[in-house]
Amino acid sequence: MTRLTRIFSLFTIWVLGLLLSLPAHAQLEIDITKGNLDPVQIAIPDFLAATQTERDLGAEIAGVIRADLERSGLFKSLDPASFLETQTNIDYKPTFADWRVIKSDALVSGRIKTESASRILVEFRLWDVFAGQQLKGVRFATTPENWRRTAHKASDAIYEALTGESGYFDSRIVFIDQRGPKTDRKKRLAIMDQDGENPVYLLGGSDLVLTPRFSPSSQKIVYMSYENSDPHIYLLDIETGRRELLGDFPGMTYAPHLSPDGNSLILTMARRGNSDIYVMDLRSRSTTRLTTDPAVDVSASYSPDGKKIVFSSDRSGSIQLYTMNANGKSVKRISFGEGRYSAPTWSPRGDKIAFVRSLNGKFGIGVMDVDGKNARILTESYMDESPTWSPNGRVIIFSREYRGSAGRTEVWSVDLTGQNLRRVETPGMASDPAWSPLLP
Amino acid sequence: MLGIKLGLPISLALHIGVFGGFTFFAAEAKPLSEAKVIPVEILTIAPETNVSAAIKPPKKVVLKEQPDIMTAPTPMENAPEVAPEVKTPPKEQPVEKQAEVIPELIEDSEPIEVPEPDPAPEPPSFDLDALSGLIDKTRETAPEANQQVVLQSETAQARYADVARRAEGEGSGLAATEADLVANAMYKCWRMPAAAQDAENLQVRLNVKLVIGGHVESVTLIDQAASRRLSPGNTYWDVAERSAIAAVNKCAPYDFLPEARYGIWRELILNLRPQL
Repeated sequence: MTRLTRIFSLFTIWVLGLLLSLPAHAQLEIDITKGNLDPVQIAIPDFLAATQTERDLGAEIAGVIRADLERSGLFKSLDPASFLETQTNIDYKPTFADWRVIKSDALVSGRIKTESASRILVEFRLWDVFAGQQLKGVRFATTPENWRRTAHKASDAIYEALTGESGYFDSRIVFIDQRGPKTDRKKRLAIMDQDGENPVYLLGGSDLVLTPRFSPSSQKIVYMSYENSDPHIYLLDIETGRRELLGDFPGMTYAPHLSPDGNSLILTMARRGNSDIYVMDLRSRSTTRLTTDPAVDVSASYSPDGKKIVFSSDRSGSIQLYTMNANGKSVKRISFGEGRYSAPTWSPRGDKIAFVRSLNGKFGIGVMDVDGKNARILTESYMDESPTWSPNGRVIIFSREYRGSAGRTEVWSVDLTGQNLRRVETPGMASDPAWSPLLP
Repeated sequence: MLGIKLGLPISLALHIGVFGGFTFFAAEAKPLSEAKVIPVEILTIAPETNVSAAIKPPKKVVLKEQPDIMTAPTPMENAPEVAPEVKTPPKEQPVEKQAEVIPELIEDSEPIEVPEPDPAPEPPSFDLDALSGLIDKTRETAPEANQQVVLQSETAQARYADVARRAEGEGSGLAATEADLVANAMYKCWRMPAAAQDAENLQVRLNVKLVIGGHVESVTLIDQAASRRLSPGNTYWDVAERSAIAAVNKCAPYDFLPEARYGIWRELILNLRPQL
């Protein structure tokens, strides 16, 4: 090794040493793992308008949007009396500082214009107050009578922009309206908006109707009717009022559910003393048996992709939940907790299954992952049953019955996390709710 | 000959020892996240300064009279006497005052996206010609006034430079307090994406630049692609990122951060990792 090489290698080491000793730019890195779960504070002033009639409508629309968002539990609608800025034109940027002062995260400024006697324009802009930018701007053209649905559609758009998931406000709930004492109760099929408005009876008062279920993809319901004490399964198109008899089934038949594509029906039939799950092709009306176990297999519900079915069965000795492929293969038990598990319903989002658990004489609504993990009981009372999901898979509504001779039944809602338990307004006593998909 | 043969390895070992040692001692310690601040004045000697330009201070502030950074800390209480308050630029005001018209909504029976309003007008840019003309004129008419303006701006800059230099000397090893203060504040301002699917993987990384007084100069999303790989295709990413940025703005001003340690918190990396 020559002297020159040695000098060069020493020089290299020295340079390396210098480089290593250079100060790295000291930048403070902070991990933040805890935030709050407070509701989003939102300001929704009455929608602007030119005439008094329009202004009244503007106030009504803003009121419906406030109520929708508040009811979700994810938003807190600020009191209009606290607003500092009074906007006169929604085409100007709001004074964000005025909205920050009242701690509003978001602002909805809307307007109504009448185009003709039968046509109004409802438009709004959603602002992110802290970023000072518009998140959404939407205009709806509709008839004046349709203002309530327009308000629900606006709520859905706001909900989606601020939470990242689709809304559920422009949807309806079918339920069994109940009148009279428990010993002589009249039960009728009825429908209302998800906020309890516009309740309407769907059928005449003579039928005994049970277990209405919405098609996951259309505004049709399938239900059991015990006209003349024989069980019939009907398909009812809510838009047209057309009713179609899907079949008469000898013996006991329970809980029909439509498949996600609406082409087949899954139900339990008792044949020769054995209750099993069958699928019926609605075009050919042919039925195929899916389970053959001597136990009672009931309450089948499809996954949203139509590939899986969840059901309850007492094949293990107690009533538990099982999943299988749509063809009846690969049966797998998914619930292992204490008590009995029944009435499973697959979430429209596909990630959860809601169910009823009964333990020590109490009934509660729970949710679990589709493989049975993370089971959680959300409610418990004397009798909580018939869970049904909101179209976005975030909220569950169910019937709650109270102990006693009056036997009062109500519809309640709870969200996926067990928060925000509240009663759903119904015209009278109500049970067996079924939530529609979003309206088209 | 033997002397030469022995001498070279010895010299080599000594060099490595000396430079290696230098490297070892000069390397900065990583901030300990759980460290408790002990009120002991230990001054680490910064191997290099990151103060880019030493600006001649106004006459009142004699830089030489300030204690050297290597020997004692400069008491920050002195600074406001000579330096005017650093004002944060009123960012929003021009936009809000000049209420601008948003483009008309496009008519359609279907709900449609309305185009974003035009961005806020930029603050008036410098017209260099006009500026130079002004300077020339000022020099001709009132040289003293010109001098005064320059001195004021230098005062402000000297304060920044001074703070920066102090921070460099103080080292960043005792930064746990700042981290705790910011994390505490963010608890109130940051709404975790609890409703989201796979929420715990919705991690957002932000680069936050602050000015003295704790106002936010800028918030930038960093390593976005890497973060998004934690939960590919999750529809909640946009909302998670927006709420993280909103939280930083909402918490401002961060006036609880000690001004004396501005050099430590002037630029922060925030990792928002929801743990539900």
